[in-house]
Amino acid sequence: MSEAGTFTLRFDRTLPVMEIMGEVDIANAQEFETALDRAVNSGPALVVSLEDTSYFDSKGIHVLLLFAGRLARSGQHLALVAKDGSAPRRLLEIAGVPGVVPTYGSIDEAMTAIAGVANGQISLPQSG
Amino acid sequence: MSPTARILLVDDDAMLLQALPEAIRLRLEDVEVDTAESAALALERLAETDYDAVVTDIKMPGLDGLGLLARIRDLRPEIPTLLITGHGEHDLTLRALRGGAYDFIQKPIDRDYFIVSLQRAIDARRLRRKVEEQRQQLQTHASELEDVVEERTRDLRFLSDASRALVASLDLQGTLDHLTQLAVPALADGCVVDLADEDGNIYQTAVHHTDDTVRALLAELRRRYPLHRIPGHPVTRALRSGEPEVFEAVSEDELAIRAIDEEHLRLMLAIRTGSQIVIPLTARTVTAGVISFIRGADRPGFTVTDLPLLEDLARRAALAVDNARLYDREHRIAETFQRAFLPPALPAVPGVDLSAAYTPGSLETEIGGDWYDAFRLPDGRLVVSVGDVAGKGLQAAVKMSQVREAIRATMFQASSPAEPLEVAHRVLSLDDAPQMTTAIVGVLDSAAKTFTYSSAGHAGPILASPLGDVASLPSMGIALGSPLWRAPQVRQVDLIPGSTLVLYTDGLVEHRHDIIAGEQALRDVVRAVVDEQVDLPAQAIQDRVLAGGRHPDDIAVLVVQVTQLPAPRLDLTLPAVPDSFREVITGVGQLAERLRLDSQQAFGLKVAVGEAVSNVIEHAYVGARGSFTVNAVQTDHELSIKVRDMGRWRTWRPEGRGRGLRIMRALAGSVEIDTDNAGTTLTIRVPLRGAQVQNTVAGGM
Repeated sequence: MSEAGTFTLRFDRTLPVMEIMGEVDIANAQEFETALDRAVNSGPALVVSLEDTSYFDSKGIHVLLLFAGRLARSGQHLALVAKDGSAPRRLLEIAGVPGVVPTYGSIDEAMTAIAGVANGQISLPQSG
Repeated sequence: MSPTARILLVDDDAMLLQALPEAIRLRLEDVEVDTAESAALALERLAETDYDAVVTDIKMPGLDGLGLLARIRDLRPEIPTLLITGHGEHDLTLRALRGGAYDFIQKPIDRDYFIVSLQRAIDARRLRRKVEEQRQQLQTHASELEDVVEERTRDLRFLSDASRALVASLDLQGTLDHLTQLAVPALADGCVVDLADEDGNIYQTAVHHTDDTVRALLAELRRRYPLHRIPGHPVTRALRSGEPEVFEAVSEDELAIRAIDEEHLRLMLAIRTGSQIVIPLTARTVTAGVISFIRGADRPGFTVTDLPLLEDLARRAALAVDNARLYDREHRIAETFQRAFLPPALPAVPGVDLSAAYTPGSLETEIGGDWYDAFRLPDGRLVVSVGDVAGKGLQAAVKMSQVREAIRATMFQASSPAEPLEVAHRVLSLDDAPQMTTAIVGVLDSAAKTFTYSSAGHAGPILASPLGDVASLPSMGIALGSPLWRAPQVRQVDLIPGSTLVLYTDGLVEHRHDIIAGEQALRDVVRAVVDEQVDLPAQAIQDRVLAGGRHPDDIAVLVVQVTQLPAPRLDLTLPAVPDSFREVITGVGQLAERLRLDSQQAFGLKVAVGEAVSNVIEHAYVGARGSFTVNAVQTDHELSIKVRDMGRWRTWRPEGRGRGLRIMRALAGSVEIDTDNAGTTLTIRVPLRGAQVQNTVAGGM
């Protein structure tokens, strides 16, 4: 059987970084949403990485977009990480996600961008 | 003082017989004179007495002087004989001298001359006797010496035979067994060898005795009463002291001292040891054990004079034991090492059955550097390698691991199997004296049904086709590490389903000495094993080729069988609940793997099907129970997967305003939704390309 997703949380310079290992699907979409809510702290952003995600579909995308909206209302940002050219990245692109939630090729890239936003150098698109 | 000389005077003249002895006695000291009046009487006396000289008249009735002389020459040639001749009888005188007379005395007898001549004859006789005695003494001495030499030679021959027997085996127990058998029965009735570790614990024992019952008793003693528990035992003592001990007579008291309980004593008495010698086995300053010789009470006991020979034997034995111990250790390490480098399990490859066998060389030789290997590349192709590093022992095993690893590492980026061989050659050539290594590397593409291989002087694989023919593929190239190295060629053969490929190292054919016959025998065995569809073909091939015989070299065999590839299938009926979702995704994932889709394509296919299944689970049976089916159907150029429900919903309602449908359409070639009274069927079509088409042509669905 394929593996249910596990959501690991770590902190990179106080910013929470959540990595999705395995699958996010109809069977664990609810669990995914709960994990996202718990991962948020008072920091300016939450980074969610799909680099080690083996399955992700519209269920997961739906959860991500709703969650990004909630964060925006509290003045925080969601940043996604999916390697350029990877299957998860392609999926996000098909669904038009990078247009509404900033999506980066690596965690480092995401961290740099978020640091820039905090310093007021750039602004991030807001999800509707 | 010289002993009395005895002379015999023979004459028919009574006067002379009286007068002459008188004259002799007057002029010579220590002379006894016997007389005889005729030759016949003289012969009688001669038969009894070994005279120092005989004086005889030449003219006598009956047998005359010349006749008597001839008889004396026959009977006692060493007795000097003087003849008395008449005046002017020159002719007779000459005949007498020719007949072997010592001298002649002419009548009338000149007494002075006669006495001088007689004295000379006696002296000559004495001298001769003395020489003879000395000669005999010398001969006795020589034969005694010969005996000594012979005895020493026998000892040396025994020791030299012993040495030869001891080096004949490098296996430790074999060496010990040989050793105990050497001394029995020639030197002793029984022999025991005990080997001890650094702490004095006996870890290995060999026992031999002319009497099997006693042999069993000795073995039982060693088993029930470990020597390290008996500090007073001479073996334990010899281990500590490094000194031999001789028990010319083993008394009951002595045994009582050794015994640790009544039963122990009873067992020792039952052996009826008469005498015993224990000698430590010391080699390279280490006492590795003790050898004990025992003789029964009914045989002459050992004495200290037996010690030198037995010590000599023990010295040789100690060296042999030490060598065997070192060898034993290295052999074990090398074998462990080598086994560790063989793949613990063969990879699972759809459509391919793999089987391997490895057997180290017979105990008495050293381990070699043979290997087999099989692994999959990320794209699913199977790589096999088999090879043989020249040389034996740990060094060959280490080199083998290097070569094998070089082949593995290179193969991941290689475009042809010649490349890893090239790299392996360069790795080997880093050494001052590269170890020649033959190897074959092959890539099996089960989709394209081809085997592409390259060989560095290694035996060509055997290919058995399902049609019945068995052929040896050509051996190519030059051994790795060779100064004549040149880039190897690459060959490709088709492997139709049902083909069997056998890769092997030459130990499998060389044990026969005739390699051509060996290869033919191997092909016959391969044919039989393939026909019988044996479960473990590699082991079966090895067992049958060797047929229980000795195989000095180690042997590796790898068998690759291409089976009829079952068409990838997916045929699921599941309840429409979220828990069913993952089973579908797993099934699609396996299908993608068998179709050898890359990870992007597999992800896309899974998501496309997943979107459809999610939708069914969420919307087809609102508030009711139901089930759905997933079926994969293949044609030459595309894969279509149908997801069908029996629900009543009429509108495709993916999450988020058609996002799911958009995703599905983007990922799959096409998506069709067909709704009728029975339910809804969603068909996803994915184009298949090249290899994937080939792979599935046979199946369809």
